[in-house]
Amino acid sequence: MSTNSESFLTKYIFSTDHKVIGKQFIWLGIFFLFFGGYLSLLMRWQLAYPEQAVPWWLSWGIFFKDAGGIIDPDTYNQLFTMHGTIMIFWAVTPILIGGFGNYVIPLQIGAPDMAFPRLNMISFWTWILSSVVLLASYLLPQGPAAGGWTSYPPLSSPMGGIPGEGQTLWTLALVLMGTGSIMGAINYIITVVRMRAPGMTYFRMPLTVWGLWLTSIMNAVFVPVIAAGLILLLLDRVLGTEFFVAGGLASGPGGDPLLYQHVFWIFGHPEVYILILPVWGIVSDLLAVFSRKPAFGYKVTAICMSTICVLSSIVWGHHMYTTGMSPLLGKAFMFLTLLISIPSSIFFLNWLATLWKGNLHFEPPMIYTMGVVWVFAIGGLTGLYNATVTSDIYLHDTMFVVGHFHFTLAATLVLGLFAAIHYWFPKMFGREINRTMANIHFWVTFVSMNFVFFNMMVLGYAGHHRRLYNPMEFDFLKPLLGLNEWITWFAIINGVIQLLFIFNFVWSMFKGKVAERNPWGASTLEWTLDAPLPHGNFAQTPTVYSRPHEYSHPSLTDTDWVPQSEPIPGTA
Amino acid sequence: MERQSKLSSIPRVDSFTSHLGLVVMLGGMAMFFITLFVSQSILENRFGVSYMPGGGSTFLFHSSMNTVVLIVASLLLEMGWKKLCKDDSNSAILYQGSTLFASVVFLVSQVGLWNRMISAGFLPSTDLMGAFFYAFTGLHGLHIVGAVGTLGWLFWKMHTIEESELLIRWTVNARMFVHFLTVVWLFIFVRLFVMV
Repeated sequence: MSTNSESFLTKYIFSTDHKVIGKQFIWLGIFFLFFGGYLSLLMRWQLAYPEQAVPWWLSWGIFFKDAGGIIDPDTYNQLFTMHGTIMIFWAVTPILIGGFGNYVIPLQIGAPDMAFPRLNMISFWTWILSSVVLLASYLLPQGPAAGGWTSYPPLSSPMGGIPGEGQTLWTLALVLMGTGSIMGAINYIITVVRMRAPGMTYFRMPLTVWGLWLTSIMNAVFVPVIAAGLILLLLDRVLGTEFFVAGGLASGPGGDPLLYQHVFWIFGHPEVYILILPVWGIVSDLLAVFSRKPAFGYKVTAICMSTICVLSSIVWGHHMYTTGMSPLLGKAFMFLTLLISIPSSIFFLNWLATLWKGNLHFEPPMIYTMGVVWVFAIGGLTGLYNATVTSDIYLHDTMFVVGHFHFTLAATLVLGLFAAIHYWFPKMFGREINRTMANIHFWVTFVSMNFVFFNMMVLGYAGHHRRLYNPMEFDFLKPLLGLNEWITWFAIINGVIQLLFIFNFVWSMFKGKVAERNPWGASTLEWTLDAPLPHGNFAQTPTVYSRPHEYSHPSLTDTDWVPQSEPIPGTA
Repeated sequence: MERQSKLSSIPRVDSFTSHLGLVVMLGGMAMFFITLFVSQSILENRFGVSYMPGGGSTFLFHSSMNTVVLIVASLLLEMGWKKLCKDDSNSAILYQGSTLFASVVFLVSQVGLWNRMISAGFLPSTDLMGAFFYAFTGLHGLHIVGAVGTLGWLFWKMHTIEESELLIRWTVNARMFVHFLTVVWLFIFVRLFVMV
């Protein structure tokens, strides 16, 4: 390979190397993870101590000065809107899909880079542009969007909606983010289809790649749907059209706000799987690595994930049971939604079977992975109540739903991305992440997040609605104040401990122990390379001989693993 | 191991991979326009069909001419590609340039149509038909601007590079993109001007 002098700009800023772009996405996501997380703490403060001044250590002495340190209702609306939006689209998506998708896919399939490296770079910078637009909304006199992360009309409409142009920038930012997302999806899909190393058949791909690939297919199909809906919303706001304006708010016959809900959830429900599929893949792989066993039912897991993709595209109506939907349609959506539990249960049981009688190594990535198994189980099981029409009518729009989707999305995804960061850290930076700090971070995060999200469900079951500015205005919610306070303090603990993570991350990058080439004894292709990895990855295109989890094979003597690029002794 | 840094040092993808990438992108665009078409059908079904000024017939001729121009652009590009395959680069450049010209004519004519519509008091805020008319034609027009950029770039490349394999690959991609936009326009034309 040739040595070329690269400027700082082309090497680190406008790089076309998938690994650099992956790291750029991870840094972007971490920034927003902290920003979005901070917003949630402010929100929690208001719920625990309604209309009391935010303490200086939480407001940093600079926010809410005009209101005497108190979060007003408009600001509260902005907090939950931007928290949801940022965490989903600017924190988790960049880290898991943009970051690890970029970093891992070419390495694990034996490719020199993404199929379209320039498109990859443009994708990242489109994301940056969308971030700037989103953050710029904070500079507007009336602040950022406040219509919830779903931004249903009429809340998001110019007529009768929340005043200010924050919603316009929110919509524009999402369209830009979606554009960047589609660019990435095209790259991932084509890279997997066309650039796999010889011998890397679909059923020899690591399940991480399966998850990311399926995610990309879903992105390519469903992001354009929401893009269309958002552009119509944008036209409503900017040009005075009335696609989603109805009733007395419309100047003529008007449009239909429910149409927006349909369009939103046709994308929105698959979005849940878009986000979670990479984690399922990562967990499936990591359980095998740290159990020193082949992933149980590898092929079935891949098929189940694919089946879920298909099913997820026809279940959006379960978010809309209370919109006056016909009971027959509600039943159909309920049936289809509950069908998803079959493939989900199968691959979940595969996870447990992988652990069964395994030689478990509780390294940091493994404990985060085990954490995912737990929180995903809780999130999945509580989802059944939301999928069922009869129970959802009661639970809809309560804190139960908030608790459920935070188990499914927040807890599962955040623990999943921590597992991924700790697992690939040695490959990314050539150093080991500090295990003691990682263990402390895991346990505090895990306990606090379980407390927070579980008790949110308790609140919801007691009738506590979500998005309430001041629950103390309702007598029946007054007894829940104590629980709200506890949740808030556990949320604060959860937030504070993330500082340990970021310290460990940065400290280990520079001061961590120099990592071996393959510290986990993993058999996938990226571990055959020495860090730092060159642009172009492999000096010679590897040939793949086996599945990604050939651990403890009976014919192995010196080690319990064999890289995918080497034949298993005695089987060639 | 030494670092390999320049993009050119990464193996270039083959033509099929490049085309496949475009197919995925066009699939996404198709989903985008399908969502718009379905939204229009749902709202029309709910609130009834509204009409353009003069029942649409006033502007039918203008939009029909635009349709013809876009179809001609597609055909010219197709002929240019055939010439390129036969290594007749001079004719290919001629057809390519004509396609570019036709696409620009389409855009200018669309702006003219918008102008006439606005003069007739038919605005995006007039009614649902107005909203969908400007949404469809505007979004399609933006894609055509992209196509014009692509064709212009290709036209320039045809003058500057000799590698016919690359030129054919890019032309095939441009061809798919332009044909796709022509097909989308046919749907828009039928939906907005013929069906009402």
